[in-house]
Parts: sequence; structure tokens; C-alpha cells
Amino acid sequence: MKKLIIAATAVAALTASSAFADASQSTSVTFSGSVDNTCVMTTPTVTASSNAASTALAGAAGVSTIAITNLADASTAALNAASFTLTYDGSYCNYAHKVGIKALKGGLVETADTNDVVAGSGNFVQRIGYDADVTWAGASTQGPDPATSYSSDEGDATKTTAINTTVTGANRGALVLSVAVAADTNPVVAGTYSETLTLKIGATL
Amino acid sequence: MSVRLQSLFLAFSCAFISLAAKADESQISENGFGGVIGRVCGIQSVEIPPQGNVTSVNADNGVAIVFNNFVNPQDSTPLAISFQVNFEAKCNYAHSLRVQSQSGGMTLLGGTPIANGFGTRRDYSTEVIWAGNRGSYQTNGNPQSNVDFQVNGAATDVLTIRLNAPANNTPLVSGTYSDIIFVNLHGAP
Repeated sequence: MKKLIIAATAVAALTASSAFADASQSTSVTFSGSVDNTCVMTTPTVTASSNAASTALAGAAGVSTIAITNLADASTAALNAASFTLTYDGSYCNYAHKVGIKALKGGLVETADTNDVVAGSGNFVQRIGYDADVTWAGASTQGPDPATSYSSDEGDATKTTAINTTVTGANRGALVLSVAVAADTNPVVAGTYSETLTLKIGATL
Repeated sequence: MSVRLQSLFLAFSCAFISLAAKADESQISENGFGGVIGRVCGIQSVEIPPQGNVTSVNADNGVAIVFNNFVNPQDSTPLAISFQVNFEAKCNYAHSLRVQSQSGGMTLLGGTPIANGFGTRRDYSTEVIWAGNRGSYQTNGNPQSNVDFQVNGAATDVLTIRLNAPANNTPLVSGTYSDIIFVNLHGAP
């Protein structure tokens, strides 16, 4: 009879160890998701302008075009002042990143380069300078600022190097580009002048 | 041995046997048997029903789930996420169930950067179903977010945990977000 008792106990113990493990049991569910480095550059608006107007506005991977209404005085061809501000409101990068700006030409230069200045002539503006600044993450970065030139109709190559500023964390807000052209009493050589500024948030430009 | 002696011996033997048989009119033997079943609970097999955008793997002492499409890759805004996990479980006595979040939301691993305009935690709601009980909690950063059930008897059932988080328009800071839900079947207080 003892054998029967022992056998019954053994069965009970076996049942306990296989179906039930303990007086209490715990488990856990670990769950996770990842967010990649992401930047969003919104479509800008012209938040300030003087003697300038937008003809096209585009955000990431697009091209915005600003036309200077009266680049020179209609009577004297003297260089007029102009300025504009593009605001990319609500742009962001969700990680530590860079904000960069780069000039293509290093000045507003005549696109077709059709008119030259003869030797011995008095001053003409041959390259139009400007001052560009970028404001992002609470800081203003000095961008390209090529000078107006009376001697060269080429862009200032020293002003075409990309300028990058480190932002130490994620930032969401207004990316602001301000460009100003200073007036000059000297006449400007006839032609169509253009420059391209590239803005970038994220990786180094 | 002579024939007489043999007869005497047999007579004596028979007398002895007879004496023994008459020691008691009847005999009773009571035989008890049985065993002790302790208070035990078991969380056994886990089942993760097929569901989109979720990868699951068995992990030490539980299961690990990864959301494959956690945010919109274009702007890092959270996408709607959900999953369900089922455990076959048993408790052979009145017991309690606690399901509790470790972090009170899916938090950014490696700390929380200062980043205005971004989310650094992904809150979610959890629904728990067990032994006829249904409860839920919504995370809000409180690590004690939990569901507690007092079950007044033994139960064998499927313990179901469902998690949901809606989409929203606040982008998340780059990184990995995680939380752990602890499930504990234990003795009633």
C-alpha cells in the first residue's frame, strides 16, 4: 500500500512540473520600433521682400525663383538695392545634423556674358555682390557674401565653397534665407544676371 | 519416525494452525492514498496571430516584437501600430494577474534629447483579457501603468494582450523606441 501512495505522489509531482511550473509565473513582451534620421524641408514663402518677387516656390528637391524687379535704375543703369527673405516654416531634422548653404557662381553674373567693358573705361558693375544669411535652430550663419566687382564679370570662386554649420540635436522650426543686394551708384553692364543658392539641412552640403 | 509419532506431530500441527486462524473473527485494513497539489500557475505557449508590419521572435522569458513601419519614412511622423499576443495560461487557485508597462510608453533608448517640436515617447493603450476579465491602461509616461485582475478561482484560459497606438502628426526624434510589458500570474493578496 505504501507503494500506491508513493506512486500517487509521484504522479502529482510530475503533473506539477510539466503543466504547472510554479505558484507564480511571469513572462514579458518586449516591443520596439525605430525612427530613421529624417529631414523635412517645407515649401518656402516670401516673408519679406524689397524690389523682388517670387516666380516659383518649392521645397525639398525643388527650385524657387526670385526675380529682382528693377535690378538697375531704368534711366542710369545704376544698381538698385533689393532684398528678399524666404522662410521654410516647419522644417525639421530629427537628429543632430548640419545646415548648409552654397553659392553656385559667387555673385550675380551675366548669364550670357554678351557685353564686355572696353579697356580704359570708367567703372561699371560687372559682377553684382550680395549678402546671404541663413537662420536655423536659433542661430544665424553667415552665408556667401561676394562683393560687387567693377573689374571682373566672373563669379568669386572663393565664395562658392559650401558653408556648413553643426546643429547638435533635432530641430523643428523656420529655416530662413535672407539675401540682400546693396545699391551702387555705378552703372551695371547690360544683361541678365543670376545666381543660385543651395540650401540643405541634414548631411553636410 | 513411527506411525504413532507421525500422527502425534500432525495432530499438533493442525492444532497450531487452528489456533492461529481463530485469533480474530475479522480483520480490517484501512489504506489511504493521495498527494498534495501546490498552488501553481503556468504561462505556457505563446501565440502571435498573423498581423502586418510586425516581426516577432521568442526571447528569453518572453517574446520580442518589432514594428517594421513605426513611422512615415518621409517625415518621421508616427504611423498607427498594433499587435496582439496570446498566452495559454493556467492557475489552479484563486490568483491575481498583473500586466504592467516598464516605462509607461515606448521611450527613446539612450536618453531623451532636448528637441522642441518632436515627440520623444510613443504612448499606447493596452487591453488585457483573462478569465472573463477585461481591462486596459493608457500610457502617459508613468512606469506604473498597469492592469490588475483578482480572479477568485482557478482558471485555464488564453491570456490576450492587445496594444494600439494611433498615428499622429508630431515627428519623432531619430532612434529606437522600446517598452516592456511584464505579465505576472501570482497568488491573490
